[in-house]
Amino acid sequence: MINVRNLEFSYPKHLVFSGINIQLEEGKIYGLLGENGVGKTTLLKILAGLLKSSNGECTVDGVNPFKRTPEYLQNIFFVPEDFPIPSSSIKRFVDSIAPFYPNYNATLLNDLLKDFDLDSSKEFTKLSMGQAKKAFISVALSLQTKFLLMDEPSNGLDIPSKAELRKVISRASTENNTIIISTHQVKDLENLIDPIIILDSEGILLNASIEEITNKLYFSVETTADKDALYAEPTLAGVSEVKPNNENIESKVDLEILFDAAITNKEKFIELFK
Amino acid sequence: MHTMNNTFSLHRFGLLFKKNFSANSRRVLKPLIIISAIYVILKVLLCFLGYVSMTTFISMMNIYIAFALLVLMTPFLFYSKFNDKRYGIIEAMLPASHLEKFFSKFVMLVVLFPVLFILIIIGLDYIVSAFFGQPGSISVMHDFITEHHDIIEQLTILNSYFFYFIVSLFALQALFLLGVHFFKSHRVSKSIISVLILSQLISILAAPFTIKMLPEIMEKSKIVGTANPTNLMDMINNITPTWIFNYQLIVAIFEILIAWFLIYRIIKTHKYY
Repeated sequence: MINVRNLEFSYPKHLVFSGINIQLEEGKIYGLLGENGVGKTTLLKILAGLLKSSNGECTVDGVNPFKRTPEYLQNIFFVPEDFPIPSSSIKRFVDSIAPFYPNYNATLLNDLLKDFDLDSSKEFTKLSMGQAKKAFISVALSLQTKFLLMDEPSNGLDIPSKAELRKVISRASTENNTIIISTHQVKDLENLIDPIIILDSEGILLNASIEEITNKLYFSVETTADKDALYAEPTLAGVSEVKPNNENIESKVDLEILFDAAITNKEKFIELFK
Repeated sequence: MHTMNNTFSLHRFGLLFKKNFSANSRRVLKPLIIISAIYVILKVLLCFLGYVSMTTFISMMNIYIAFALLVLMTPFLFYSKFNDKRYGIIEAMLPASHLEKFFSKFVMLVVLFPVLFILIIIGLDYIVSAFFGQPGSISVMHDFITEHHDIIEQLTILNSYFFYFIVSLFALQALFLLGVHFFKSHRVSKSIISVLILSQLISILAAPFTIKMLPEIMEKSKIVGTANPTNLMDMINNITPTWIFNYQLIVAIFEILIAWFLIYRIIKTHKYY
């Protein structure tokens, strides 16, 4: 269980975020959304133990991540957006780190690499950026850590690989692990991430499951924008909009519209999902 | 319930050491080949050009220089990506304790690789001496010990110049390692410049004492030795008051202790922005 209370992070002359309160449960794939600069990567780095918060409390299974204890680190893995490219083959890289992770699954790695059409004997440096990213993600998933943090995992992947990415992440997800994916490419990860967290520099705008969202909001494409719409955007098919689901009608969440609605109606969203 | 030892586990240290040794061996291979080749080529050339009268003392210095170059390169070769926000996180997130990561670095830099380097250089020296050395010469190291057994017998650990050179070398290595852990960009140049500034500061601090002793040193330096190694040692003994060596030795030991303590602190508290 991840517990974040009144978390604040600032650089010497710049406050990134404050007042972050959130609880994350096991067995879910969280989608972490937010505008540029609100601190999505920073939050992931704090959880990974790479950064120390300026104020507030952040515990993962009761442990302060920044202590970077071996017991904590063997339960967490972080895939940064700008990920490190090891100067070795995929196999040698895995062989060097896998002994530190008790739940590492070699068969799973081989399956994942096969799904991504990659050969473990290939040198990382000889792979394209997209291939190297797929290899790194495969390694991360095969370590089977309790917490897996991914920053923009779909960036740089081609269209078939994005579909494959959704498949391999959902396959690696179990009821015991927690995956947090920070992304701007919400379409790439639609149908995968649930619950959705929308981060703002002054707190969490939304932390709700898809079911909760559709219970409270109604997404539709209309010919003209409704006056009650929280957000409306013209598209080729008409006007995509989201409004309060007063009539309890089922609809499919459009993550981009949801995100835009949240950042243009911050207070309403906080109130709605209290 | 099983509780994991989060401070130090021999098993984890072994895994970490194996991982780092394998990675560092690959990193050091090219510089090791280059320096060894230069050492061998220079020695063979000197033999061919007829400089066979090169004293064993100078040859020993060549061995020391090759060894020192390799030892001083290791912090840059092995750990220059420690605080890199992209590459550093692999090590930071590796499930091993701060103490294990610290000791792995220490053993690697101060014990394992220096021993490997000296064995390789001595091995090369034996090979070159066998093919190009003077008749009866086995190796520079062997010749030096044979020729100067009287000096070596007099040496104890604490008054040994070799000990002083070795301590100074590892002090420099520790400062370079601290530099690559501390600086976030231009790690090599900033580390070297910082060490130069630090050495100047230490010299300035010692200046009042040196100035006070100058007349005595000048007087003693009138006894000029020859290139004979025994006299060279005598000359150093004669013109340099013991306290200067002791002062420098103590400074070097303090540098080592402080630098390694700070390196441990950085390993423990570094933030990867």
